[in-house]
Amino acid sequence: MANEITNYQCPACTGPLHFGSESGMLECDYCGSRFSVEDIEHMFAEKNARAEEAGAQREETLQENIRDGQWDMDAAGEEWGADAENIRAYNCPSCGAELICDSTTAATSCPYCGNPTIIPGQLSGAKKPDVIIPFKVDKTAAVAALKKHYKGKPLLPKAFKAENHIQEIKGVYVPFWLYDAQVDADMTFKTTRVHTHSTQREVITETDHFLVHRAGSIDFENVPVDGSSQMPDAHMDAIEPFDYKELKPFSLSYLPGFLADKYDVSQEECAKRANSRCAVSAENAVRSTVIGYASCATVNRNVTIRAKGVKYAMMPVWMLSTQWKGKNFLFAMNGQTGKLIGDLPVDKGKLAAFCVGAFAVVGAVTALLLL
Amino acid sequence: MKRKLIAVLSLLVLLGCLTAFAYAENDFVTDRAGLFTASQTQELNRLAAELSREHNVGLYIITMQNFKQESRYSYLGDYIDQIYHSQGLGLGSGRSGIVLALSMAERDYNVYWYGPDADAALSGGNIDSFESGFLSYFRSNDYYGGFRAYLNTCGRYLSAAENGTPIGNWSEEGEKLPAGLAAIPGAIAALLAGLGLSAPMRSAKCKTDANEYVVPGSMDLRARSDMFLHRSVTRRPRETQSSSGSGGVHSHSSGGHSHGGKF
Repeated sequence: MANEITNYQCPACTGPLHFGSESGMLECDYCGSRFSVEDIEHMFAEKNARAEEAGAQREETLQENIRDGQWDMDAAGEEWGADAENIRAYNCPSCGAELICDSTTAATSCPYCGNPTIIPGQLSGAKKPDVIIPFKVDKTAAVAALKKHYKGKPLLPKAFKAENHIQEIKGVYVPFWLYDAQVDADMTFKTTRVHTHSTQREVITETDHFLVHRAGSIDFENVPVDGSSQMPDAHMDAIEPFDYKELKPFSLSYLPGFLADKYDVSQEECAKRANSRCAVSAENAVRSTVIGYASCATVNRNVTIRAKGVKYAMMPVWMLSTQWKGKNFLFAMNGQTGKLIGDLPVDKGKLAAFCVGAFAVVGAVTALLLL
Repeated sequence: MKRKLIAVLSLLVLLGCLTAFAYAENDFVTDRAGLFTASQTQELNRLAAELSREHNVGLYIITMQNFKQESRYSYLGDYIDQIYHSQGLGLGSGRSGIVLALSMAERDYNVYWYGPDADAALSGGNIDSFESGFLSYFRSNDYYGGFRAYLNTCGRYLSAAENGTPIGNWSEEGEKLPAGLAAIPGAIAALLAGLGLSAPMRSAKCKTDANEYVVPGSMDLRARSDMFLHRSVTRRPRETQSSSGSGGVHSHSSGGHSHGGKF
């Protein structure tokens, strides 16, 4: 198992640094120092080189000091077997505790000392992200947004709000594929125009039938599809859009203080969803040029998608989860724009009461008007 | 001589009364289109006179070959309105009356009603159910049967109005709105309320389009053609009453109301 692990320490006091979503800099919780991403990257590039050299020497020393075991270890525990492929173990560089993560976790924090930790080894072997959007909204804003999400929903069970304790809040850099494409759409429609006029005896309706042809192309840029199988597609789609003006070249320095996953769904697999979305929009765009008709029905469509490029990006997402009546409720907030989504439980008693009330009021008014 | 004079005068008065009575009996049916036999005319007059006296509302039948040739009017209801007032039709202080007229050339029918007692029985809301009681006879050219049904329908509607429970539009026979009918808007409202309140509870949805990622101005329409194929024409008979369209009520400044169409 890989054991390469990095945490950024404050050059002033050696306290852990984390990325400040408001300041856009790496901040030290202990002495309050702030450092730009570029300065810390430069500083730690040299440090990492020295650490690698020292690590190699330490491994040699350990091998020399191994003695025969004094206890029978066969009865303790079982072999990992196939599960070993999906887990990784690391030692926290701050307190030495062993961290167990799954194979896609690229950044996490130590559960014992809270030290934000990056595992660059996790990103190796997979593509390095091209771009990243840093977190702009913090955990407090995420909690406030969730409370706001509860408001104005009369069907939300009171007990859900009252007993609701957020089980977990995670700031996660979610791997996304961003696709650029040009889509050609060649479509044929059957359309009608209707004229109605009257004589003294008859109302005459004349319907003109047309065959309409349109062909065109349209460009799409940065169509996002999340590359993590752990993230529900519905949640990731619903928190769109991200503001791509704030895309930055990827740097590990943005990760401290947040979780980060590497992709486990390939860009080829994700491209199917991007293609489908682009095709629908292209068809709609071409269809919108057919105007001046009373009806329009598509009789033939031929859509060709020409891939132009794909980027690997890390997008900031706050994931909030809570449990109620044994069921998990997962909420996602766009860590850049603050848009929060998530399904809520429905109080079936309240729903029935509202429906019965509407039925009674409207039924009574109708009866009064017509009887 | 004086006795003879009194006798002659008495005879003249009696004859006058009989003539007036006979005129009243015969005045309810005007069959210029020649649709009825003499016995049918007599029977219709008898029935009309009986019902008219019972309800104090004159019930009239007018048939003609072509009202546009007979009059300057383009709408049969206007012509009937003119006849009603020029001939002083109607009974009672309010001159209440109902007229059913047919013009055979155009196959136009018109129901005209005037006065408070007629208004109490007929309205824009129930005229369709009223007409459904007799129009089917005319469509099968059973004019005698149709006018008998008209007179009997008038009797039912006038009786119901006199009892304070005028027959409504939704049921020819029933006086009450079926409970199920009132429930339909209620059920729709309940469904809308349920859907409207439940929708915000589900906000995690997959997107099916990429509209937000279209490069502005990138749409390039290379081919564009609109080819005419053919024309289809449908014709339907035009309703002849007011601009309110099929089933509408034509109101007259004289205070009467009429409703008509084709049969």
